[in-house]
Amino acid sequence: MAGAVFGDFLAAGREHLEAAVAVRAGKVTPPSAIAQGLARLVTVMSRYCDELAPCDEAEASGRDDLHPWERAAIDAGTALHIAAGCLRRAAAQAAGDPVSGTAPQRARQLEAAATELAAGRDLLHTHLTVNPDGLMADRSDWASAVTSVPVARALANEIGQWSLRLAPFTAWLAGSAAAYARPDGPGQAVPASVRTELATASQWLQAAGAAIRPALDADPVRPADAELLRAIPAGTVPQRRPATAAEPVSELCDGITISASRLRGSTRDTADRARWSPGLTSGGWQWIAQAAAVTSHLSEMALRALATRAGQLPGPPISEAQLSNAADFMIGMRAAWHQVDRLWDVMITETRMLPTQAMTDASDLVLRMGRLVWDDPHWTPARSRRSALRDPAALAPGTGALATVVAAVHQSVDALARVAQADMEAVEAAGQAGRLYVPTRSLPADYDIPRPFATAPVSRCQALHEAYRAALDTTIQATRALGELSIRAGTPSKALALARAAATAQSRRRGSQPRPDDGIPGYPPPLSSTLFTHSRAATGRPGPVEEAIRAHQVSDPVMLMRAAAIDDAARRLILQAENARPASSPPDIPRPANSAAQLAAQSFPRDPTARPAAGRQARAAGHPTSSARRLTHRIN
Amino acid sequence: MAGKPRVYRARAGEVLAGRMRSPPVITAALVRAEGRRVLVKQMELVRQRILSADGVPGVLSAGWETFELVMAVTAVSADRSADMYPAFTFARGSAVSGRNAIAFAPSMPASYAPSGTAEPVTGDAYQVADAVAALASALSARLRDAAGRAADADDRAACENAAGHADQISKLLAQRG
Repeated sequence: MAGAVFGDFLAAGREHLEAAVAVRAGKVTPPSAIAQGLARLVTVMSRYCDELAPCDEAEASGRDDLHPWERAAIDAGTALHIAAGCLRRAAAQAAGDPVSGTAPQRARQLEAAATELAAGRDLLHTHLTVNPDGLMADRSDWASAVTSVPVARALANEIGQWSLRLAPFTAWLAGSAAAYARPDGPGQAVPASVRTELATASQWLQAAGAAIRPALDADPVRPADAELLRAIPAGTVPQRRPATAAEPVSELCDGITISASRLRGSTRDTADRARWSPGLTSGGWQWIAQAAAVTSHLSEMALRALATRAGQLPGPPISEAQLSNAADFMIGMRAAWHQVDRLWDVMITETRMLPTQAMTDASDLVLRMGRLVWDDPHWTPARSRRSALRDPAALAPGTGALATVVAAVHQSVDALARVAQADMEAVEAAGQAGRLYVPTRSLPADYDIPRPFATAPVSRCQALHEAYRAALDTTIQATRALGELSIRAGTPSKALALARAAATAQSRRRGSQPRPDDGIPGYPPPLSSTLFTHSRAATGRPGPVEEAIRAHQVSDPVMLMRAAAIDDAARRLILQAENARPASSPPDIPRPANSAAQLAAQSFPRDPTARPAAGRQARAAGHPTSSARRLTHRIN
Repeated sequence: MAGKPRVYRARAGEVLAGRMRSPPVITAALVRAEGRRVLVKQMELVRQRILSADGVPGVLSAGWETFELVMAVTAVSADRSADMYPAFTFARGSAVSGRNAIAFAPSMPASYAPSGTAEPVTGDAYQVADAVAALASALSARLRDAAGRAADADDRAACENAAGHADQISKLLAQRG
């Protein structure tokens, strides 16, 4: 199965990046198109950092609980935002250059790198969604890997490396722009400020790269992190590939991977539907439990055959004993699923079994697992199709094939772990909704119910829940055992094991927790109505905090970057406060400052004419919440 | 369906083994032989019940009992042979579905009590499969016949549905599918 993975976009983007930044000595380049491409690329990079950051720079400056990588993402993101602003201004100022009509190859490479990187970001987004509360929610079983610390580490490091690659190139571009814009050069119309903006952007790109270093020192990126990042697939369910006769082992393994992936996808949100949907039935759940038991049985046989083969092959990546040990896990798994199956004998939903997508995919899985194990391309569970076991040498002629079959077994067992979790939750929801029934005659004599079926007693529902829990536990144990084998053998399913391991450590991101309301009652209104007009991000000129830091002869780029971010955050905050200011407030009367924040606010340059008026009237009519105010403002 | 067994019990094997005091190998062989005998007897009795069932309610009752017997027999037999495990497991599932289909029939006697529950049977997995397949085939024919004669649409649907599950059992366990 060859679906798109994040690594595809990363590698393609890298290729374009390297082609773009390869400096040819002495070559003078028109800066406009290149600055435009660079701005786009750096903007995409900054968005990656924004998504990794748990808060913005202003909030981060007051927090001491941030992980080094969270701090790195915030700092790098801030630097990249500023760099992107410089590059956009450079592109705009150089746009009047008549020579720069055609984008040079280098600019096209930068555009292509930006496109690849943006596509990679889109791929990551396919695993996440925003729920009605505006919070981030999972959309696939890879979501918890996408938001994990290992992926955040690898991603932030990647962006840092790209920044460091772009910084010297941008500096070179600034020099080239200067030569290009000489009075005797071809770009006489290009203003000198273009060079300045490019040079500044180069410094901020360098700062973005530098922001990653403390995190790298404190918590280095592991090779497995980068491997997991590259292996993240698109969050889409692959097309079903029905089993056909005469599929060779490799195609059977591909098909198993597809069925497993589809099965994982089909288990999403079943708990909600189980409360009411007549499509989710006791028959369906029981059939899935039977399919899981049969798959466990076939997986055990496949692993035993592989163990035999490992004993025959020279230097196998995994030993006979390890494979036999993994096969032993399948026995417990099968028994647990068998118990679930048996408990369904005496429970029923109000509707009979209806075929579901999960049943179709589980059926494909069983067929292909059977055809791996038995030497009959037409194998089905029916007795009439029983045949001899496939020769282990035919199942895995070499170590590569052995790893492929281990991966297929790993995929199927991992999918069953998802099924166990989903069905356990769904069945519990169905029980709570009163959708589970038992034959009246299976109840003690003191139940006087004049119908053949009665609502299942809590004790029966509990027993079923515990059986599912046991199936889940044993399936997870088997998945872990196979995951270890996959990592050891470097099988194609290794990413699954890495993803499962990574998912236990979650990064904090904006949107993953409720955002504080900015209109908290009782908060004093802003003292100053000054618009903060100067900040790096807004004008490219230093704001008051950055100027103050520079006045202390500080040249640490990270500290300057934080100062610039605080300037920008203050500018935005004051602008926001202006929009929310009541019409009845006395205009611009200075009040005595009694806090550092007030002092800072009073020191900001004032520009009353630029103050937006919208929002004041809305607030004068009453005291709506800040969200309502924002909405009113937007409608107006 | 944990009702107390009333008629058919496969305890003869254990009784026989205890009384004979024979060496383990011989005892095991006798248990298997006795198990086969009990199984054949069970199957035959249920088959007779199916064939002699009167009217739609009678066929539904006999169908219920047959499916329950198939469930018990296939559950025990599944672990006896690695290559038959999938067939027995899915056949058991079809038996549960068939029985549940019958439960939805309006003519299914509400106060119906089964005549007995099978105890674990011993015996060769393939012979068990043959016997169950034949029984399921007979049940299917009888259920389809009842569906043709049922006046109530829901009875017809239940009989047809249950017959489909009986066919599936037969298909899974017959030597030639």
